[in-house]
Amino acid sequence: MEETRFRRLVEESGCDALLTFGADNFRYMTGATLPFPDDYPEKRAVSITPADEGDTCAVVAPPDWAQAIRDQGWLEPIEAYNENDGPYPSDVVKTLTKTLRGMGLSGAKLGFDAARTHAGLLEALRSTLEEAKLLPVDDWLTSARALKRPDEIALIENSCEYADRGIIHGLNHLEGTLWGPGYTLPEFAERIRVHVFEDGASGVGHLAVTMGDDTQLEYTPVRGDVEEEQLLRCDVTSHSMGYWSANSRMAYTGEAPAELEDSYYENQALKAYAVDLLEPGARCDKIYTQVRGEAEKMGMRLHGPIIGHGVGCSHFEAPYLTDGYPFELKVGNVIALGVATLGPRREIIVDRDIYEITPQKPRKLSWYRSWDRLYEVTGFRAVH
Amino acid sequence: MELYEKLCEAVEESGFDALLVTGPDNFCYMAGASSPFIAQYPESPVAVLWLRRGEPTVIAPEEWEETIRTLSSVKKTKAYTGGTESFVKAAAELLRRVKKGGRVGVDLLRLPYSTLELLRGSSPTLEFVGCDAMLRDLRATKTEGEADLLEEVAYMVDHGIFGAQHHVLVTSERSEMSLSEEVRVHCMEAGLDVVGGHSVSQAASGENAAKWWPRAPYYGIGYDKKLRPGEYVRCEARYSLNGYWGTGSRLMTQGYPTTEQREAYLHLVALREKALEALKPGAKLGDVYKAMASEAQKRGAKLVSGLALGHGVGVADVEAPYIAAGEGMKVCEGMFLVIRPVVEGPKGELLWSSDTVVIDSTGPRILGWYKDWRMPYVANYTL
Repeated sequence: MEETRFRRLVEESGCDALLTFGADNFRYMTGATLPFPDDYPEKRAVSITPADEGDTCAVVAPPDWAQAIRDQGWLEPIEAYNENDGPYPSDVVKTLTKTLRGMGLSGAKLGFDAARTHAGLLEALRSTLEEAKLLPVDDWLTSARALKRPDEIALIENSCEYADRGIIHGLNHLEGTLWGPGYTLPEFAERIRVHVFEDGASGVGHLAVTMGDDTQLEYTPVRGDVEEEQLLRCDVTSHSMGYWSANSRMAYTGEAPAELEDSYYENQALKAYAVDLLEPGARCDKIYTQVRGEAEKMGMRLHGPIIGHGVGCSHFEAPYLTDGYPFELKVGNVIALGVATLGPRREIIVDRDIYEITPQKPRKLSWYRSWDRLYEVTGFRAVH
Repeated sequence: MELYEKLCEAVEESGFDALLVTGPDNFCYMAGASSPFIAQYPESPVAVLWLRRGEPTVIAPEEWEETIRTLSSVKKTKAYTGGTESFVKAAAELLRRVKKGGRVGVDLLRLPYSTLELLRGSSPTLEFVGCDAMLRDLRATKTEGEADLLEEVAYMVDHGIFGAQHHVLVTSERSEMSLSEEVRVHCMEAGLDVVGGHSVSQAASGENAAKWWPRAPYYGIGYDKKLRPGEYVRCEARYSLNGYWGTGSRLMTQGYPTTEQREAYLHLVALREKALEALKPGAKLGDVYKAMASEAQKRGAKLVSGLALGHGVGVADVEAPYIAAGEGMKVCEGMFLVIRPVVEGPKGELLWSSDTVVIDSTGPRILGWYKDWRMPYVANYTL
């Protein structure tokens, strides 16, 4: 059923077969999540999906990734390339070319994800596979990925729960530690990461924990101690079997001052306004401009030119709620809504939630806990 | 010479009118910015544009501009709003300062094909040419500042792994998950950066050690499997400090090693010795690979095929040059390499004990040996 669907999709793209080079597209086509692919730009796993159902699919992968792909249920051939045929991209291209020839695709019309394929790799492939026609099919892939199936949405929903539980458990551990024995910020960040895993996630991607003045920035190296009377922001992206969530949550170490609480409440009001706009047929650019207009009316300033984006096989994907993106929302889109505004000291205030677009109201997938007010770390403990 | 001066000189002498560097690792190198998150956002490109005569400029999405300026040693920025098309527009505006027919070096082994096509379309009078070889050469030899940092990181990673192994008692029934986390915590305690999904620890024991990635896709989390007496345990870690990486794997036996376990380990020791002997300034890295492979054959070691036997380390934990058959680069002073042959153990375990070395004027010097690794760590029965 699933395979038939993908074959049909490849056929619809007008190609004889589809090659994916991006790890997110690889996950989408094969069901296999790769081990930390962003950190290894000179390693590539490539999926090959012919349109014809009678033809076998295949994967070309680094020797030390092949087992992980197989263990995730990939039953078709995996050709491991030899790193000694390198340096990159010669090692990948040699085995890929041989595999495509073996599959009878050397003269075929091959679609590929141009936004994920290094130009140098493509040049090398074209020189060894002169007779093939390589066509970018990114728009087609993006559209297909933007519409989630129920099983994909279920994984994203799981991921949201794991992330939120991880964050709240990390915060729970902070209770009663502020004046003694004290926590370091790296330790707190690590608590979040570990709890996200303990709660069931299969991976953490971006993890930014900022405190005090550093909350004016999107990311800073995690250093120093957790101090009292400080604003904290936790930005976490994590996945459940390769399907991602992107959550941001905010806390204060102590009782939050009124001006900060007010900023947070105003941010919540603006966010609620944005949520009401998330409906099928609404244009992404118009949602953004409406929210920006509302922010101005409320006397607030948005941080950055984007208030939301899709999540799925990546933690940041189409559709984007930003100016100049005229895409209309559809039932089945999943949006990470992060309306970021600036606080009294230019702190970035954001409470990022994930919503599924349904025929009725958007369904909140990150429902585990309400974050409609700043979490205040004011508790005590005897032993933890 | 420090990195910024080295880069200024390299750009000046490169023959390019400008360099446009987009790969997250290359960006970190050129801009001096430890910004681990950018690799995870391919739809929001970040780049450094370095004109042959002029200051470098960072191109970044508007929402990241201030963050990246703070992290980077390059303080001049140009922000863009939107995705790749807006990025290209911003780059094209800066590239107007390059004369018609000028050559712009781009890292083709990082730049997506679609972005290259957009760049060509928006700056039709310029020629975009690969500068990957130049970047590869530059990155392969470290400056003094880079070397100090890498040496410190290598030591911290080895300390982190060893510190965690110290907690293991053969009879304590510790799980792989717990040991993975202990490795991570010890690396953190040593002072290394915790960078979300980038930093990884893993412990794999017994039959799980026969896999690269047990329990995929739960990478680097560890399995609930308990360590059992008599097993081989592989403890891995890779962490960074200020954007420079250390990577390590150390082996532990649950109790005194059996003859077969010791034999497998001695293969690794011999391959390390062979590498140290061959890694002399001027030697071709492809020849170092051949020397190691031939030693493995002579000893009857089951060397796992298809892999390079080592690699560089710097702003990425695996980077060029490689100790691989096809590697043409020569060993030179200031190079940092990780020697990493993998052999099969007596029960099919994948065993490696990676060693970071720096090449001095006379040859390699091992870094970060918190313990003498001519023997594996042997877990005790009592504290």
